[in-house]
Amino acid sequence: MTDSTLNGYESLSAVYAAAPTVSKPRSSLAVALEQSRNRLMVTAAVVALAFTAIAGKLVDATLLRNGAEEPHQTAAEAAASPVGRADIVDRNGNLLATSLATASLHADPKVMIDPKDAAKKLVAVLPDLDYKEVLEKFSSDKRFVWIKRNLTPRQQYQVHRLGLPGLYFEREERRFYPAGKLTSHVIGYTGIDNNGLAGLEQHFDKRLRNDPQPLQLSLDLRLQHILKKEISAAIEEFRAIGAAGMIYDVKTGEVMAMVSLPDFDPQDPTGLDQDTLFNRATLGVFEMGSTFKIFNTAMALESGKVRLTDSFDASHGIQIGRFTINDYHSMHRALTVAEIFQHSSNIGSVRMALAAGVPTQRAFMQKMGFMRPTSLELPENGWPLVPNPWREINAMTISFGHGISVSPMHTVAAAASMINGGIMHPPTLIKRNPDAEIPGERVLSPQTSDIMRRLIRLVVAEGTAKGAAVPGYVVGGKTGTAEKQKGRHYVKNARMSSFLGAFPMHDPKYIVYVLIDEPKATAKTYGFATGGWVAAPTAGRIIKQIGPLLGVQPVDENSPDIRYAVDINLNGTIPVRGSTVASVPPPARTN
Amino acid sequence: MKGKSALIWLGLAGVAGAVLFQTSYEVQGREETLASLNRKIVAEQEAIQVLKAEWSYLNNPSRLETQAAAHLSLRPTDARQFVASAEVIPLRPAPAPEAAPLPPMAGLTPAQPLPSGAYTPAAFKPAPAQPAPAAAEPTAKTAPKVQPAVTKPQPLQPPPRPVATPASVKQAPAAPPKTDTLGIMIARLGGNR
Repeated sequence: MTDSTLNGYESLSAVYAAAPTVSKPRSSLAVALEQSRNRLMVTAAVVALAFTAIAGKLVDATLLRNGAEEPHQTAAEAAASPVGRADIVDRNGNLLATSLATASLHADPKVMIDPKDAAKKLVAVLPDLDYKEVLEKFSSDKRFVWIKRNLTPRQQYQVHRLGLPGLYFEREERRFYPAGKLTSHVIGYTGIDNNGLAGLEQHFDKRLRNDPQPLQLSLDLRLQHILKKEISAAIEEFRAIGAAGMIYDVKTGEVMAMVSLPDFDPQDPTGLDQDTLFNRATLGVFEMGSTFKIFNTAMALESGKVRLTDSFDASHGIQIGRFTINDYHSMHRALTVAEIFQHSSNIGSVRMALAAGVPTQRAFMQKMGFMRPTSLELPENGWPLVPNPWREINAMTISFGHGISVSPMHTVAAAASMINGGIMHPPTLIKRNPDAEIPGERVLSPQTSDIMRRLIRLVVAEGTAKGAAVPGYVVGGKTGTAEKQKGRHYVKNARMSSFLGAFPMHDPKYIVYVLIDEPKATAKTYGFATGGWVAAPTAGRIIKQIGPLLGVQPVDENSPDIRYAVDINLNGTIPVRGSTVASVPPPARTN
Repeated sequence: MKGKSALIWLGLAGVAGAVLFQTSYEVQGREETLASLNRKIVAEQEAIQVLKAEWSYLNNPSRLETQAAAHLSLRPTDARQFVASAEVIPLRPAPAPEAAPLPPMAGLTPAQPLPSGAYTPAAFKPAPAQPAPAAAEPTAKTAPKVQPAVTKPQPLQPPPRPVATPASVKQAPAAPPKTDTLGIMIARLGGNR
């Protein structure tokens, strides 16, 4: 660097080169320039940043759609149910209960242009509406009025076609029961918000809400229909006040049909009396009468203290205090175990029970499940009425089915274990998985069960229940007639007549149970209204119709194989194979 | 040189942006289609649900029984109608040559006469195939017995059965139209509450 002064002709580089290393104070102009340049830079940066942010946001909003509504990425499932509550179907897949999406019509009167015209048009399409009422609703000051709930799709279309302003639809769900009254007590019903209020609808309420898979029941709609038809006919014939019926699979514990009459329309269960809503088959506990002799006989034989060949004196009534136990069909002589069962002898049953012992009887009845409600999936599941303490007098009356009240479901489930080889399966209304093992518990030896089958067959073949016989189906059964207790007394002419039938007895598959509440005798039954006259023929008619449906193969009842499998001699011996002589029924005695 | 490469990059970025926007709009369009299809599926499912309910309602055993009684001459099967095996069924003798065409099935009028003898069990025997008249010769004595195995005391020409016309369909309350079975169902099952 030189200190020579500038002459004005140096090249520019020389000027800069010659610039002093020590900076001179800058002029005010340079400072202003510098400052404005900096400001411009900052402004440009800020603007650029803002534009970048806007661009970023723009890309985000248009391409990535962040913050916008979530895109529908899943297709509607083909199998999914469009409604909120699962269907209930029978064992063959027939619909018993389903939910349908319906439209409910409401209006906003403020938007209506001409309420009179609108009301007129609407009533023309929906004739069950009242013109005046609709007009009143349309002329009101409200912003929301219900016009009609649950329109059918066709009605909705017609209303929609009117094109009236101010009318709106709201999607609602409605529970439908295509089978109507047929399954009313089993399925139950739902309330206006589709929550289960009775029957299976109540018991499986959560399941039906959460799992869209249909709930498959063990019921068979066809059997249900036949059962209901026949017991309604019996009610009419005998002017009874009610009835219950059941068809039960003895090998799986499935209830295949269950009817309680009078029944109701599950679509509209309002304003019904308790008697109609009452499920006689499960909630009702009754003294079962002679049907209980099935359990009494099995108990006595199983205890080992009574043998099949024993006989008991049944010539005189048994006096206890001021009561006398008598026989309805008295024989006035000693009877064998088979004869006691055949003629339904109360006296003989009492003697058998006493021979077996009171604690044995109590323990056996407990094993039969008569001390607690059954495992059936219904909220209407009755508690049995059992004596406490269980004294000798109780044991005596229980031997012929009085002094203990159980539901028909109890009786049927326990009777199934008496004839299916001795296994007690918990009764169910849900179809069992055919591959899964059926739960069960042995309550009776196979030998005793075999004897019970023969005894039960004897009652239909030559006992009190001949009316239940159906050629080809080898029916067996036991009648029961119990006088009803009203207040503290038994009433003579108010009975519960029942019949518990099973078929085919050489290989029992199904139980048909019929219970008629307060039947009145008719001329056709010669003034009788007992189980043998009222319930047994009804059960016979039912078996005749359901046998072919259930695929039970009819057999020749007199073929040696069948006779060998189901016959029993009255003296308590079991006929030997091949000897048809021993199994020929003795000449009919006069009662 | 520098400017050129910048231009190329700029162009590439522009094209990428355009493709991106194009794709994005296409996706949006498809999503809208999907949503509308989903809506349609749900509507169809609801319609199927309604049809199922209607089907079950129409297949109500009580109704079927009434219908069967009115329009068919079939009756519930009886235990004696079942046999353990086909061998138990006695074969019907071959018809005589002059045997009339087979009587019509109960309640049915065949449109044209069936070829005689062609449908008897005898014709299905594994015996050598013979023309019907020849086969009939040895069994001529049994000719008068030629009768269907199961006969019904019914006129061969049944009176014309009532055909289900819309007019004969039982009507629930006048409210729903005739073809609106669901409407009838609702009306019958308690109506609109």
